[in-house]
Amino acid sequence: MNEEIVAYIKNEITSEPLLEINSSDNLLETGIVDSMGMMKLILFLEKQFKKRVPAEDMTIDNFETVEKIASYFSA
Amino acid sequence: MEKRIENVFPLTQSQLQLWAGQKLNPNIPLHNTAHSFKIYGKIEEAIFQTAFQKLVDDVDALRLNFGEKDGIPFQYITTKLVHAAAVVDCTGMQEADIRDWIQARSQHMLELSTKAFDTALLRLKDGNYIWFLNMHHLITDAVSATLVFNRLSAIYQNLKKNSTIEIADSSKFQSYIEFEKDAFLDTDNTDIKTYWKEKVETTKGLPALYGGPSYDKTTASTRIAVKLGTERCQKLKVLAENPEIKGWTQNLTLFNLLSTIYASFVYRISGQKSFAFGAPMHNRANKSFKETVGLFMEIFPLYVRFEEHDTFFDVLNRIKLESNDYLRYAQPGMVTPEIGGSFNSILNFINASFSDFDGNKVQSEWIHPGHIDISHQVRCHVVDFDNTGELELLFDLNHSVFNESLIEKVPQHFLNLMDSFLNDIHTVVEKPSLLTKEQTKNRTDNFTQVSSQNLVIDQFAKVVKSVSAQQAISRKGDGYTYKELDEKSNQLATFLKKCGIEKGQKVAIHMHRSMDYILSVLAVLKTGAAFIPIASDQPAERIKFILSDAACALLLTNAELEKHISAGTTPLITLEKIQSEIDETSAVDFNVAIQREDLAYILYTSGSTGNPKGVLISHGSLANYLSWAKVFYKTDTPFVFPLFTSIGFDLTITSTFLPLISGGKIVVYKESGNGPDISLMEVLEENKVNSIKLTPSHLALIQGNNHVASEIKTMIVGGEDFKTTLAVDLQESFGEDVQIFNEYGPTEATVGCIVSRFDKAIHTNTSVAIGSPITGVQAYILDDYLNLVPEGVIGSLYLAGAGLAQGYLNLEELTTEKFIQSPFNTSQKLYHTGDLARINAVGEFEYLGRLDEQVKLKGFRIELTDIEANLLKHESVDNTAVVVIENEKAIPENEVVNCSECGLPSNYPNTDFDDNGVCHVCNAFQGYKEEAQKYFKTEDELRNLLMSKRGQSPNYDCISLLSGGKDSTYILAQLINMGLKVLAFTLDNGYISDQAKGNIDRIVSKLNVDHVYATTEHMNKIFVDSLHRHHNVCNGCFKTIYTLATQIALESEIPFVVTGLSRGQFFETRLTEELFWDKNADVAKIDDTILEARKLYHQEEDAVKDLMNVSAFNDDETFNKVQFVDFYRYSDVSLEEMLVFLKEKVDWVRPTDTGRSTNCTINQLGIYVHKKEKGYSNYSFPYSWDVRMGHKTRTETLEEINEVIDEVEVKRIMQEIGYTESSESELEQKRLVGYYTGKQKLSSIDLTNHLKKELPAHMIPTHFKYLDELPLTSNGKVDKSALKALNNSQLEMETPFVAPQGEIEVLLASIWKEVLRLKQVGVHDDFIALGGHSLAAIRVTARINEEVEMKFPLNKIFELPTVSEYAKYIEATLVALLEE
Repeated sequence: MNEEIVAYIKNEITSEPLLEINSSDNLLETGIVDSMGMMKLILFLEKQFKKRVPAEDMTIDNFETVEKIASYFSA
Repeated sequence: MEKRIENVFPLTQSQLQLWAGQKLNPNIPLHNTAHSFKIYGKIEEAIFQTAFQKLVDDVDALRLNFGEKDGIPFQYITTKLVHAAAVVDCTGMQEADIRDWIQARSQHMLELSTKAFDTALLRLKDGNYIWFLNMHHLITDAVSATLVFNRLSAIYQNLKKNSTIEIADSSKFQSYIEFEKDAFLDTDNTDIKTYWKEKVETTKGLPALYGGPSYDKTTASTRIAVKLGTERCQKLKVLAENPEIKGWTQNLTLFNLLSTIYASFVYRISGQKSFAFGAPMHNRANKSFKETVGLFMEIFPLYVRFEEHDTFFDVLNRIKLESNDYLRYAQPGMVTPEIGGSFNSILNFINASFSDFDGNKVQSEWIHPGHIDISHQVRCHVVDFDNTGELELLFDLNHSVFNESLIEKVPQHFLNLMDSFLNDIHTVVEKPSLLTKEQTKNRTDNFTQVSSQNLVIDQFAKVVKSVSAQQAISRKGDGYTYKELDEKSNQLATFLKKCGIEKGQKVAIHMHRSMDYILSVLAVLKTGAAFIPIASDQPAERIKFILSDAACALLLTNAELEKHISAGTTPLITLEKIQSEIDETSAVDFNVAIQREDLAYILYTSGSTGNPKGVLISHGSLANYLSWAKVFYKTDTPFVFPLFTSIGFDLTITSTFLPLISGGKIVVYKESGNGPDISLMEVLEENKVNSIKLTPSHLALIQGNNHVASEIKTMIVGGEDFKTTLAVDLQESFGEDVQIFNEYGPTEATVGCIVSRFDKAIHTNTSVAIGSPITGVQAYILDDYLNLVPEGVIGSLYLAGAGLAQGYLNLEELTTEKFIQSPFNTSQKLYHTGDLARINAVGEFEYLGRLDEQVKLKGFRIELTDIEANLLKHESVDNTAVVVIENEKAIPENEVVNCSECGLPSNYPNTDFDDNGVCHVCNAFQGYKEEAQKYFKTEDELRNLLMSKRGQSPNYDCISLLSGGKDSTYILAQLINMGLKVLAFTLDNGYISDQAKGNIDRIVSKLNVDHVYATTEHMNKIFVDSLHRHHNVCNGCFKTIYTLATQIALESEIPFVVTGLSRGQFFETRLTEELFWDKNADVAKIDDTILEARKLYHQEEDAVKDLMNVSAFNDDETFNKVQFVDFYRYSDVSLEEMLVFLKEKVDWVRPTDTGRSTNCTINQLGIYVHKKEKGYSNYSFPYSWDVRMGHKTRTETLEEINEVIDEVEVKRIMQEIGYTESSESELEQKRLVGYYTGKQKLSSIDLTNHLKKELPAHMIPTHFKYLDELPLTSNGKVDKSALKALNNSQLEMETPFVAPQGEIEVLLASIWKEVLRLKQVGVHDDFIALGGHSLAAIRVTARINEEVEMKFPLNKIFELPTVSEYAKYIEATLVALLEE
């Protein structure tokens, strides 16, 4: 799942496509993804995994790295 | 300039909104987005110009042109747009002139069909430059501005260095137009559209910022900039790092924090607890659009809700969740005009900044074009364009709401709130004051102390000296001069003194309006005692209460009223009786020294406890009012006032004293003995007065007539909300030379303390403003935390100063509660009026209703006066009163207690539990328990009865109703045991459970009896009807059984039908306590009454009567041919015994498939509906009787009543029988009711349509009710409590509501109220429509017969089903008896 997430960020969200993204990189603090971008990613993953993210779950803890995002959606 | 159309596109959703606004205001630069960038350095002007042309060539958005075809706007991109940037030489200009130049230039209208931007380079004398750039909002947004800036800087740099490095091309806006259009059309986005539609729908109602628009609608606005400063920004950053607060990104966190502050601000300046504000979404989530210039931004609403005592932190947490939803749904192309209309203010958190220009430092300014969108009243932009790390707030304030003085205050209000937030995020949102200490001080210090005023007796004495021969008071042909009045009051005072009356005592005066009354008031005051006026219409009990409560030293009255009074231990003096004695008493004034603090009078006003409360008014307070009134209302001629309003009403103080202290005259109008007081008509007819004091309701009575010939030139209106329409009418009918004053003042602040003179040019709102405080009085509008509220905002009205009462007599707690310590001035008390008010744009106070009548429906404040004013605009409506009828609060389920004896729940209507937790039914039963025993008989008697007609039918002695339940099974077995020939009868209502059917089949075969199943095709309709009428299914079922069983009995000539009603059910359907009142009543008579009631029962309108063949019941013979016998009247068996018998003898098994202890699966639907609509089970009452009769234990009934209901099954059956559940239970209903008077009754549709033009849906009454006239209290105010007491069926009745009048109508109404559990009965209300059934008929008739000592038959109530008709019949009967 990690690759899929990284690919989506690179293709659709960040304007710096050459950026290296590791699954433990903090996407939010580094500014790779802003809040609108994160929502875009969530909407994509929701469709992909048929899982709806409630507003309460939209925390830093759940979404700050690719790893965490993947584990949230696979849970 | 050459131009070629390359491509034509529709406008994006966001552009459409701007376009619409611009089109409505074609000559206003509403959407000009202008920036000035001061560049600290040298600019090569020619290179700059070339660079700018290159910019236009690169950026397609700059080449966007707009047009309209057939009313549909479009945009196109010209391939080539030549634009030579102007270079303006400003070297000779002062800085201020340059600013003016920029301001003026930024307001130039842009020619959208050719070029949607404007630019110029300003050469300054210091060698620096200003780049001016103005783009129409249609082609730009905040991010775009920075993109354009950066791109031009880069191009300029390239050209200057002759660099060949290409600047990366960004996506074209054209691609976004296409992308946006696809998104708009994409069906995948339907859920987003639905989400917004629902959001908009659920949060209708815009907050009235600072009271809402006070001026004409306009786009004009003023921008105020507020720098937050280092400290605040630092605090914000610290908060933003708090793990409990932190969101995904710092920007999102800041947005949430600022949204919380902004929303709290909107709440505090509007008072509205649920609303939305607009928040622009920059919409550049796609990486391909990150660098694209154009309008991407769309404004979506962010919804907020405040709850009582919310802290900022609570609100923040709510906003955090809400902003996640906002992010999810704020997607490109989703904005609609409806969404755009759902907010009237904007929080614009702009995350964009301008860096350097070609290495030169830049200082930027966003120039306000002086206009904003007409629907935006406040815009708050949060910016840091120059990347200083410090935020700046830009408030755009629309002139429809904001005048100059308010504009100045807004930043302070906002910052005060923000500072509280930053200091402690756990502060309650309502707590911090919005006003600064200085503003508060200005408002609270701003009053003059009253200098010494002459007290009323001294003022009177002065007048007596100067105009002693002038007439002071007159009534009909009679009258006294000042000298006479003075001497006569001296004589009475001297007499009273001899009786021991002295300073500090209280003397009650219970009189009609008369010269004696005025005389007595003066005499009492001259003794130094305080007077207590008690109007002639006061009931004896109330007088008794007042005399004892005030420990009156004396009661003064007239011979006419004396006989009604029981004065108890209070000495009573009847003036007529002491007249000769008084005539011989000294007429010399004995001059008692009275101080300002001494009591002048006590006025009793109605209290919430049921007892009136005495308001203590000192001489100082009275003098303050009178001294002010004397000057304020002064005209060229002395006042001539009619004394025509109730003496117990503080409004009347004006007419009582004002003429006497100013050398005028009182003309007395005595009240009529009974019936409505027509004194006002007399006053107008006689036309002897030049001044009058009265209520708006009084005025409404004389509205519409021509009063030009009236002598009245001063009209003081008080006591109620004064509608502008009424004032306008009066001004017209009395003429322009009449001065109309609106005087506001609770009794607790002495008659009047805020006043305005009506001026139709100024007073255009719904109600006439109450104006400004009078001399010596201060008025404040405060919130719940005693902060002064900002201008326009609604708050509670508090009063202070010389007019304040000393408190309530003997009610210390209430006095402390209402007269609080002023937070502004330690030596002052504030009286909490309980009235809502605000200060309008011209500084006048406006009255907005009572706090306790404050109506909120679904989070909206509803202005009843607003609805009233709009109803009045209907040409056929004369007068109106709108009320909200709210059912008494249902007792929450966990607070319901059950009677400790019978188990009756406390939410059963009108229950009353004693200290031991025993209900009133149980207690009352103790009184007739023995009598009731007479009704019950033995099993032997039953057997004899049922055998008595043996042979009449060839096959059977009786029919036994068999439901398959335990009770009916037991009966069948017992009847067989008795040796009777029985036909078992079962109604198959379609819902008898399989197991119950098994029981029935097993039983009839085991007992070897004949058995019939009867049914009707109308069963479902009967259920639905029963649910509507009785909130259960059983009533419908019972009546069907009786009907069908009677038919079979008639066909087969079977003389008896045996029912299985429990003894408890007797008391639900047949027996009432009234039947046993007469200790000598014999049982046969009771049976007759019950039979009569049963006949009426079959005449009641319902689905059974409509749908089934009930013709047999029209024949009285039927009731002789077929007799119904209640088995349990003869048998006394406990549940336990019964169950043992059933198990052993007939193999009865309790069904497990009905969900409860019955045999019928629809039963629980009835219970469900009853519980939902009434709050308690329909079995509660009959079961409580079963317990009382000893047939069940309390525990058994409670277990049965509390059995779980299968709601899924219930809903399924509802659908099956075609029953639609009402959306809200009767208990929760709040009904907005519009009462009106006029020439004729109007249709509700007509009135609804009329109001719809002006009011939002939530302010349209659900019921309209026509009245002959509005009921008034004895003080002449609309009696709203009477209007609130009508129930649904009364509201729906065609007949107008008329309150009972006269002894017999009042008596009948009180009986109806008690039996039918109503709060109010109109004399034309129909007994049956009010829910009167046969059992109620028994109760009502018995009570009437008891009261008037007659023997009226039961059916009279159905023949004469209204109070009015029945009362006439009683009267006629009584008169006939007397004549005999």
